[in-house]
Amino acid sequence: MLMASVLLASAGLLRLPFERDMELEFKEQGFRDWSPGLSTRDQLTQAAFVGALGGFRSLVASVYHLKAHNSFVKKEWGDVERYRAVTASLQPKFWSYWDMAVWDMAWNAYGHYRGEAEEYGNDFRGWHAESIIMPRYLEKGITFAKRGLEWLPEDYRLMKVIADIYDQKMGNPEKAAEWYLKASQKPQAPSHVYRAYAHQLTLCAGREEQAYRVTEDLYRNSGNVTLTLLRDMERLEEDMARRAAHDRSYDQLKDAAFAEASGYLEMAAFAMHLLEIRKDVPAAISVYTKVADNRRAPSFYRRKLAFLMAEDPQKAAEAYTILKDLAVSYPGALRREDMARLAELESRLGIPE
Amino acid sequence: MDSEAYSTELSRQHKAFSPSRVWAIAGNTFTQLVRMKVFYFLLIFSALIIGANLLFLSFTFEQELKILKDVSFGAMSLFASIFAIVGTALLIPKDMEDRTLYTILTKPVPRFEYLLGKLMGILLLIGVSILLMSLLFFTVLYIRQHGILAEKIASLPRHASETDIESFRESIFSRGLQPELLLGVIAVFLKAAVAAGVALFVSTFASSTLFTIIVSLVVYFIGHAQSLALDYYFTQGELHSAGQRFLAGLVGVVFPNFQLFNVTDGLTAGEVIPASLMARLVGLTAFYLTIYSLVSWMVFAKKEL
Repeated sequence: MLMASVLLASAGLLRLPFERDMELEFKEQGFRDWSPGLSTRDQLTQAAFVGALGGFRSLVASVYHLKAHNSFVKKEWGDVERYRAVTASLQPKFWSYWDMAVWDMAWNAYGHYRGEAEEYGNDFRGWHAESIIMPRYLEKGITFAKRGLEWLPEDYRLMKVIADIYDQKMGNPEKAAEWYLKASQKPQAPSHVYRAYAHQLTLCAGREEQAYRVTEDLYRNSGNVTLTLLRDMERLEEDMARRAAHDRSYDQLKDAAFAEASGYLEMAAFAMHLLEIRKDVPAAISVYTKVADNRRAPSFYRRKLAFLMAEDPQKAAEAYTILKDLAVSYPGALRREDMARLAELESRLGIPE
Repeated sequence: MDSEAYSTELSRQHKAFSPSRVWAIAGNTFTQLVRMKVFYFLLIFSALIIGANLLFLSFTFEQELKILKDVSFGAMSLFASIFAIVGTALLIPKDMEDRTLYTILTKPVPRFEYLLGKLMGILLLIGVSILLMSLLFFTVLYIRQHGILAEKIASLPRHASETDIESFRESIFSRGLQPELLLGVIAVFLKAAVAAGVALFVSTFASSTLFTIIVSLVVYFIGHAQSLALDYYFTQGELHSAGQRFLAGLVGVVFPNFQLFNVTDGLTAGEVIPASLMARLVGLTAFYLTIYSLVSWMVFAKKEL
């Protein structure tokens, strides 16, 4: 027995450095992402703690995931938060656990209390839900996502989910743009994340120029002009033209519009001036015609021109042709309310439906 | 040929170590364990994974497949460890009770071969059990991942392109049946093999089967926590006394490190284990088994039967 003990101890001494190296390599490969701290011990039941320690960590995480789901069904948000925290800390490199935690806090719990706020209206309970609890759950969602990012710094999805909260729940385009941009720079990020960044930028006051640079680049070079992109481009160009039309004089705008190196934007600013300052619709139509003829000008200028022309009975037929052509070639250029205006034009012109 | 010459001839032909004798004992041990109807556990295992497959359909496919993998690997690891400890603990006492041990050892079978045969038999049983469990697990996982894909395709709009479907297929299958899962299965086997080695050693000096099971379970549990103790006491060495560090070191030296074999947690979360690390894990298991076989023999060789 003594010899056996000596052999066992010698073998133990021999294998320890080898095992230490292996442990380090496992750590490097991401296999040792959990160490049972006191907080974990407090949150796990004794059996779950022993299970997690005994090689069933992933299984224990799945069990707590089910517990969180069960609490979600019962709308016990405190338990949902606690179980989600345990689940995510047991397997912090499994993205989905962080995502579920964020989703439960910033969408499900938030939505539940929004319902409560609507139900109780202006009384204290409604105020408490809306002003105290709802923002707190959004913060909890963001905190979960940021904790997840400590483990998964290259995961665009957790960055995007933070941006989504700022965009859809907090109405903070500055922060949303910041996080969409961070997410879009990660290797796996799909192109729509960068488009979301561009859209948020268009909503940031004082960053119109930067927003236009990004939006125009997407419009001209991405090869995928979505409806949002088209509307953002239209809004930004309209705003730019309106600002110029109001800030600059007729002569300045005319010179700029007809200068040799001018583009359709200068022409559009001049047209806007004619339309909104001088109220000279025929002159505006004539300049907008030039804008619409420019091959670089987006399709929404043709729409604008057509509806201006439609007001003039002599040009209504031509306007109708342009609008029909747009409806076929660029359906995105027309809006839902345009259909009613088109129908009204058809009846004015006596065209059967 | 006179009797002395016959005896000399026999002893000349008798090899000190014979793999075929070891194999015969291993085969016999395997049959002995199979006759204990241990494979009925497969019914429980099937119920578990089919239940896990059917009950959690309201989650995302990623979570659903993870739960299926967690339950399967968890059950596999649990069953394999129970077989390793309980099966091994039963072997020597059962042979003594049936008097088979005396029949074998009165023949020219060295005690080392007997022990090795017993260990090989239990490893064979664990191997076959894990193989059957893996087949069931992989079949259910394969069926489920195709089921999920079919559901996804059915939920797609009619104009969904082949690229969309391909992207879904790739996304679902990458979280489903992947070759890396085989490494998890191997790791489960390796851990159970080391646990069997521990139980074999304990059973050589144990007074009862219950003692062997309890001591082996304690070793198994401490073996999972010992690396944490080493980590705690040695990485922040200055915070702890020399005595505490000595004790932690002693635990590390005496008890096997079972935590090293826990790779399924990482695999189910999508981590990839390099082949070189896996090879070292196999080497470490071989080292453990060699040491436990040797120390078992040292104790068993001197044991009065």
